[in-house]
Amino acid sequence: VDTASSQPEELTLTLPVAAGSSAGIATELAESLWVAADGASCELTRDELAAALSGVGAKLNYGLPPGMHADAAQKAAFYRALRLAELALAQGCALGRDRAWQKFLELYRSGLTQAAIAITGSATLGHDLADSLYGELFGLTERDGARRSPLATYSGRGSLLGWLRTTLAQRHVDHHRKTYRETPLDTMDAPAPVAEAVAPELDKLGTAVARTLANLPAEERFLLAAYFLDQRTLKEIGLLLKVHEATISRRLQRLTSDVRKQLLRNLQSGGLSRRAAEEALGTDPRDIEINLRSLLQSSQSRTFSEQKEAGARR
Amino acid sequence: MNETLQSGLHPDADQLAAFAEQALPANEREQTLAHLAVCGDCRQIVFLAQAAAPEEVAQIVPATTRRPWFSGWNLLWPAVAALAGIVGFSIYLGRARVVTRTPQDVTTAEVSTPQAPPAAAMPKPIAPTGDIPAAKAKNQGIRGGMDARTSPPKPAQPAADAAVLAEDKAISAAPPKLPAQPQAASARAAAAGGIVVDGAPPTVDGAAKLPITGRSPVVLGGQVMGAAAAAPGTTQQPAPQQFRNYVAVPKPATATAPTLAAAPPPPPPPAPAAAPQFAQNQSLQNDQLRQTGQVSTTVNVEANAAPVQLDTTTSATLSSLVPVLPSHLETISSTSNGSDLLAVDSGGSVFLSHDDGKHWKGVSEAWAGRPVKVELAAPATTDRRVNGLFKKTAPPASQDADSNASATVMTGESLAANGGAQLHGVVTDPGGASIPGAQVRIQAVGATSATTVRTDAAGRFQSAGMPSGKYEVTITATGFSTLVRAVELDARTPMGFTAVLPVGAAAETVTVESAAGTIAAPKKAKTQKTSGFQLTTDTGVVWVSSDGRNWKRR
Repeated sequence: VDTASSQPEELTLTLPVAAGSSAGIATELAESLWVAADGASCELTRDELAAALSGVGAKLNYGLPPGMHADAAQKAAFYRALRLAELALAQGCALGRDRAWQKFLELYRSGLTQAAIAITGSATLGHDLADSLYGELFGLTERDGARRSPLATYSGRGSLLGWLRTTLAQRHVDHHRKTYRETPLDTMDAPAPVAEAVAPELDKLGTAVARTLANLPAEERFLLAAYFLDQRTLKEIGLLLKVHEATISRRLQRLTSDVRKQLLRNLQSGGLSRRAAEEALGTDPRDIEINLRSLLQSSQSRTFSEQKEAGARR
Repeated sequence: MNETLQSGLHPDADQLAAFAEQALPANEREQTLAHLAVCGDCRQIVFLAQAAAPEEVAQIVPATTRRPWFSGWNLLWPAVAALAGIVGFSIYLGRARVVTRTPQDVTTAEVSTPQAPPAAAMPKPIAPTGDIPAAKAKNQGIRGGMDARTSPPKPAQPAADAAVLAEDKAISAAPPKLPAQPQAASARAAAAGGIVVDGAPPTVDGAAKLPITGRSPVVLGGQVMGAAAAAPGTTQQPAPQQFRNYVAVPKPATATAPTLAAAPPPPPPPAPAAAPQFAQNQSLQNDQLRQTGQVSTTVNVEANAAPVQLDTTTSATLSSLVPVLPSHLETISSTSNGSDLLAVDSGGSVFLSHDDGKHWKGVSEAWAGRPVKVELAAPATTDRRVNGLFKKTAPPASQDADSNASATVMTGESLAANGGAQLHGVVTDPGGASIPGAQVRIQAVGATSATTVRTDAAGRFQSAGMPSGKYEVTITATGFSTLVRAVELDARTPMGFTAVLPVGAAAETVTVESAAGTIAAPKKAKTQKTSGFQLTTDTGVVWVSSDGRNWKRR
């Protein structure tokens, strides 16, 4: 699993080679989409753009839930909702068109470098990260004799700059993970001691907590994990979810209150009286052998920020 | 999902970027959130990418929180603006109401015959002079002339001051409708800013001419009835109609009575039925009062055996006090009895106020037709005895609370000992408030020098040691019209008067002429008070009410 490749094969769009068809897109629609995408400025033909659009639509099921089949109108609506100009630019760059690359560098070089510096927190590391990504985007990586560019995976749903930032962050995390895994074993944290036998009440409490957290909606679990595990601020979470931080605060308050009530119910359903359940909730958390991280997330590894802090301490 | 260095499948950069930009469909977003909830590395990637684009985030957040202009607090602005407008308009109305409520108090005095004077008690009446200085009745308002003769006082009654005060709070807007002449032998003693003659003892014959030049055309008068109003047990002379222009003083005194000059400007209303005997025709006076809309106060003055009846009538100029009715329509008629204010607007609605126009209540219509005029109903007469000399009793009768009369009686007893003629008085504004610092210039007729005094904090002035003779008193004060009055001073009898300065520029002059400021000392005061209101509809039907609320047809 821990391969060094950051370019998954299954995400690479298979661009149609044949240019004689519009890849299932009506000619008029393909023409209008090509005009809207300004494909000529990227040296991208109508068929190439249509093939790219068709691949994106097929991959994402045209924005519909799995199992549903999109009709022509839904497909057209899906195509028109994409960022066609940026998609055409990304496809042109992935195909190695010079005009597309000139345009890409003109539009995104500065932003990409600034984003890399912001992510790494260092100008040197930022420039290194940006240069590394440029080489990767240009298709220096070859697989099976074919040049592959991550730009081909851009679907056009979000902005190209956002995609670039996310890719930068992804590469930065991957790079850090590789560096972290190369540290000597003696400096690594000792494995967690085996949990000793706990009181039945505390065992029930742990079970209730696990059941309660498992029943929470995905977004609420994300809030709990981001706030309590990652220790993200309300503002950061609000910016990501596009809501005000006060809204996040209210939702967290309501969420913790609901979790407590649900815990009480779960404890009572587990055979504890209400008084005993309340006493169990008043247990000092330090006395409870509950790995909330294991309950909240599948990975046992620490978060990226914690790892960075640990590395800094070393 | 993307298989990266992390274990398991993870969303690729495209999906995470679309999630961060809220570009994922609901199902895919839920799937991404579920993964982010359990994958700390992907959360780190998302937050790192988010932190790398602060500017873009700053642009996105306000765009998502922007609301349509017609929602939320934006809908509140019109309401707030409307509320502010209403408040401002209310303040404007309140201020306009205060401004327009500046009273234009006008004081007049009218001389008329006494009430029911016995023929035997009446001394030889003085022939009516009838020489009204009509020339003085020019275009500016009403001019009244008063021609009166007074008889010298008895030696035994040297300081019998007769003070007759008629201070009226002008509450009536319409020009006064003077009672029909000649039977209404009355004399307007004051006009706008006129002078009310007060304490003056009986003196030798002196013609008292009080032509009144009012700055304002509104002249409402009090009546000084020139007939002997005898106290019970005293004999009174019947007052023939032609004698009502005078103050008749029985022998040996000569009655001094201000005579009302034929008031030229206002067209006389339909003359009431002839009232040859005032004493027998109180209704005549009432009719006159009703027509003139006046609040009447009659003071019967009796000196020794020489009864003198002075009748002051308070009038009101209502329109100036009733600027704004609840209907916000024009006030076509209004009247006041001192405590209650009644007004009718152009829409025919009648309103009643108990607090001088601050608050109004609509009067339920008991009448058929449309009200066109409201006025005071017939006064009810109350007698009040004033024992002793009038000078001693600065009569509360003249300060009747109901009529709000603010006339002031001045006594000159303390000044009499100084020798020479003495003059004293009070200067007030139309509202009855004293005017301190007013300049009072007393100049003998034909002389070049003059005596100038100023009123004190109470608005009083006095001057003594002047030789007897005719003087011209000029009273000036800042913000008021100049008032000029001719008086005749007697070294034996101090004279006092109250000057009511009308509001206006100092260049405006109100002239009141009086040949003699002496009036026989009163001994009995008689006060008339109004008893209610009357309302006239457009059909001519008259309705009366004692309180302004309950009406009955006359």
